[in-house]
Amino acid sequence: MTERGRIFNIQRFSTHDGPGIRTTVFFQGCPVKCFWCQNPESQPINFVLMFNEDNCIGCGNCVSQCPLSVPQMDEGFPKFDREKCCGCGKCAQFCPVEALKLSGYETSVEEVYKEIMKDYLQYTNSGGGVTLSGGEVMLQPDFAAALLKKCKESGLHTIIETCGFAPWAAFEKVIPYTDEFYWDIKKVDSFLHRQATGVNNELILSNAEKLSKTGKNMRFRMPLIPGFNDNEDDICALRTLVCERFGRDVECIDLLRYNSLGEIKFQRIGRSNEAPSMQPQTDEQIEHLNMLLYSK
Amino acid sequence: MIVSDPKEARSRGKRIWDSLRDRRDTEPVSFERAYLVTESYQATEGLPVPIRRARALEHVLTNIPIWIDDEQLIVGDFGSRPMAAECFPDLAAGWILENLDESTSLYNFGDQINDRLIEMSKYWENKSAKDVFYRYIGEEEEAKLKEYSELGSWIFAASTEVQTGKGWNVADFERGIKHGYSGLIAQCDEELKNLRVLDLESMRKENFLNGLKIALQAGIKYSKRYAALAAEKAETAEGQRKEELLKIAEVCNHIPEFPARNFNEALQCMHFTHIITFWDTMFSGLSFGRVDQFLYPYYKKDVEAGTMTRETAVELLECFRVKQSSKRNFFNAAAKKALSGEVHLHNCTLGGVTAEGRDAVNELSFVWLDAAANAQVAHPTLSIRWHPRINHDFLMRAMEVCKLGLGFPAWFGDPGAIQYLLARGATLEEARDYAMGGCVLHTLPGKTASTFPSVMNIAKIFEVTLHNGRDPLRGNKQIGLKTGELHDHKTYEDLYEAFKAQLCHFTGISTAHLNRVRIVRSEVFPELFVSAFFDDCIKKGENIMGAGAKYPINAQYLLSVGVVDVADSLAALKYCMYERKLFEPDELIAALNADFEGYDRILKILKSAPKYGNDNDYADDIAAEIYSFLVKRMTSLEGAYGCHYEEAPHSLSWHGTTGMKTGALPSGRHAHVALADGAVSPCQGSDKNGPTAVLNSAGKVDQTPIFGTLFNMKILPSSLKTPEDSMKLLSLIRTYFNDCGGKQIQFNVVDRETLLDAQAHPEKYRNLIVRVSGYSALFVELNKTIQDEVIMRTENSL
Repeated sequence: MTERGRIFNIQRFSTHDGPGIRTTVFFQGCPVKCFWCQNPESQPINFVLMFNEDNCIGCGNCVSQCPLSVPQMDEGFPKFDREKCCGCGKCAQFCPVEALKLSGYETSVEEVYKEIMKDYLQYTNSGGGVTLSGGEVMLQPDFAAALLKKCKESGLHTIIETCGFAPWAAFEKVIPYTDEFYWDIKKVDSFLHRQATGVNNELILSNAEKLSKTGKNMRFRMPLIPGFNDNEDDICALRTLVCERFGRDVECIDLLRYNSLGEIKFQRIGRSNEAPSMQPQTDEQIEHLNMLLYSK
Repeated sequence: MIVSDPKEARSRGKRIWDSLRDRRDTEPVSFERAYLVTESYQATEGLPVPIRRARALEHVLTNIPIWIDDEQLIVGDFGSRPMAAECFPDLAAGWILENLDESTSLYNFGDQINDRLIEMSKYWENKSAKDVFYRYIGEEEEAKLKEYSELGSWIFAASTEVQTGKGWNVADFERGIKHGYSGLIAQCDEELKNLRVLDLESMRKENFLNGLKIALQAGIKYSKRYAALAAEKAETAEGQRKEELLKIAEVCNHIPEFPARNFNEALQCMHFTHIITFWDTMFSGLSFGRVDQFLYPYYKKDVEAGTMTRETAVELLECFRVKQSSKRNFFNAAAKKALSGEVHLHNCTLGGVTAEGRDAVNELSFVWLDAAANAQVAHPTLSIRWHPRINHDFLMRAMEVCKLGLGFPAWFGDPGAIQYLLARGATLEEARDYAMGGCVLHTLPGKTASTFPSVMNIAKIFEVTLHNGRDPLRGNKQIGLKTGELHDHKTYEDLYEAFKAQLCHFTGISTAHLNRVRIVRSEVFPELFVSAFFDDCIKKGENIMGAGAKYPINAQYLLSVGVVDVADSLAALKYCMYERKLFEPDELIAALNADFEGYDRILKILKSAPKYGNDNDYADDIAAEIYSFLVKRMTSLEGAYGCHYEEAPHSLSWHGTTGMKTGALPSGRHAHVALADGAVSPCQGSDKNGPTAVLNSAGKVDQTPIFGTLFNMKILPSSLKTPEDSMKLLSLIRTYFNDCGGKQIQFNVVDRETLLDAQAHPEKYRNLIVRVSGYSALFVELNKTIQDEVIMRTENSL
């Protein structure tokens, strides 16, 4: 197995990314730039430097190791000129206390598989398995296909979470090894979709339609973004799309409450000015939207 | 059914508890028992010890004030007034005299300080079990012990085991239920009939059996007092209550003298046996064993015959739980500042397998859970014996109780426990019948000896190792071996060898001490009454604390505290100092001595090192290695009466008290805060890879040869709502017990905000119960160290 790929995290005991106890592998790089992104460090396909100031001991190793003079000491602690950073990771390698970390690293199918198998017993006892997420999995379809194949050979249950924005040919590579797709629908209106994410949604929707026709297990998930899509019109449009165009049952739709955990991550990668500041929906709001979804 | 909103429809148990609970704060401690025991001892001077103990018990049971609570269906109390704590001067009395001055006293005796109290306390000078012990070892040895003890460096507990009741054992309560005390007296008579006094040994046996008979007779009398009181109260009562009181009279007239005829009588008999044991010797942690097994035939018979409904059984168990939760600990109740909650370890075991290895869950197992959910009191704690084929509905019901946030049920794995007991010589049938003694000990009900733990602060021993055997918190006093300064240890292996040498040194001293404690206690303060409920005490004529038990195994063990703190400390030194050379040994020592004040850099470096609990072999292997070493060391040491030492880390609340006397550690832990709780729980907040990683770490410790382990996990209530959430938690339990070799796990389902609010506004949280170690306690009755420790534990979402 020689396939290599770029991931930024492996999260064990994931309980919201499919049935049972799962391990979720987060892929690096995403073609879509949602303003509410939960993992902004995963957007570039290049690795991104993450600096946790609380851990820094001011040793200056990063300053002496950086070939491009990105960090400079300022009152005993490094400051980073991120414009110059190439993401080589030399500084993080020599940081003694893990104050510096690269988001994302290159790894092999074997290495990821080994980490996944640490919780093998949990999957068999709970009916869980492996979920690939991101970033966007479909930016690295060959790596994803090789990893999923390996997991399927060991009998693991597999899920891909995708934004759907990738050539159909990429999906064809992973379909044989994927038990279920979790498909993000962020907005049904293509123009507004582009405004919020940087891309149109025609490709996303046509891929979803094609996959629906194959009979593959799918769930359609709408992340509820305050003021953007958590309203009655969007929910109704979503239902029409899934039920009529894709020919799937309304039961396949999940509305996901907004989660503000991503906001602090914008700070750690030096993009504080882009960090959104929004309140998650209340229980009542979620209940109302779900009622709407199921009412006919 | 579980009553979901207790305010709307409070159960009988809840109503009784609510009417009594607040008296915990106001009820003065009681010296009633103390005076009665003293009177009796004065009248029996010169008689053999078992006879004196029996006469004292008889005097107490005949004269201690009794009452019946409104609405109660179960009678028999742990005090002379509701919620009053009773004093045991026969164990130790010197501390009363030391605390008479109100301004300096650690205790609050209310207005009970008078000449009678002083005279009584003086009587016990040189006579209490503690005094006799220290006279026996001599002043020089006492002074040495003090240096090691909680009064000195807190390396091992040298005095608590002398002055508090010990036990943590499971009596065979079924014996009293099945044969009646009259049947047990007949067994003594039978033994006496065949006994011919020829030597000291046979005379000892005669005295013991005669004493035991007196004690059992006294128990019968005690029950008849309640029968008379209930009958008297019934005369003026009306309606349903009149019926209930007449029933109590009928029950107490029949049992415990004669075999129980129904569920009510069996439960009342079990409660009396427990209460009488308390009046005799206090006996900490007398556990009930498999209460859904030996009581089941009575339950089944009554329900099938239509003489009792399931609802009545639930109510009876609620009443029983309230009675058990009314037990007080004198030292806690009298102490002016909060201690570590009141530790009562009367474990009830549910589930498990039958003698044939099949699932043992029955309807009564469910009834116990329902009663616990209804009454919502802390005691007795419930333990579930999990096995691979256990009834799934029962597990789901247990999860519902788990969600109430009472800290129980605790979960135990049959695979590991049964394997352990087989390796210690039990038959397969016996091993399958084990029950939890105290908080986590695998005990054979009515067959194994009462336990004596040697509580040892492993973190302190490591601290002493770093300082060449000195205690830096006590002016660098030389307390251990001179194994070298930290800078003398050129390699990690050198340091580890030095640590092992100190461990051997201190375990050698502490176990020699504990052997003497046990022998002296057994001679001057034997467990008399409760011995009737153990094999082979009657046959041997010896008590259960001494040579009476069928199996001498498990009687003495090391209760190690802080192993995980040491593992994290060793990992940090190996990783940062020996391998990466990020600081010098002397720098580290200076940082530790300053509690990291001004050493921010070193603290951050230490915190970045691998920590136990993240499924990272680097630190996990060190923890596993220390535990394996301790198991080997302890099982090589001989205890009294034919036992070998065991290792059983379960911390209780000792991770708080030991932590207070332990300085800063290389793990990054600050001085004077709590150590890691339990046995295989990570240091508070250091597990960052989620629960499956922690369980894998815990599974790397070879738990099979360990006598009892403990693992705390805190779960956010918001994440344990749906049946799917319960399934995930059950799946974790299955993996841990069935695949990882785990033995015990328990959950606190409570969030940080609630705990912080309870700390700030205790008056709003009088009923908040949390799991500390092997016991649940009222959060507001815990001291701040333990409260903080519970708050600091990592929160997990499901």
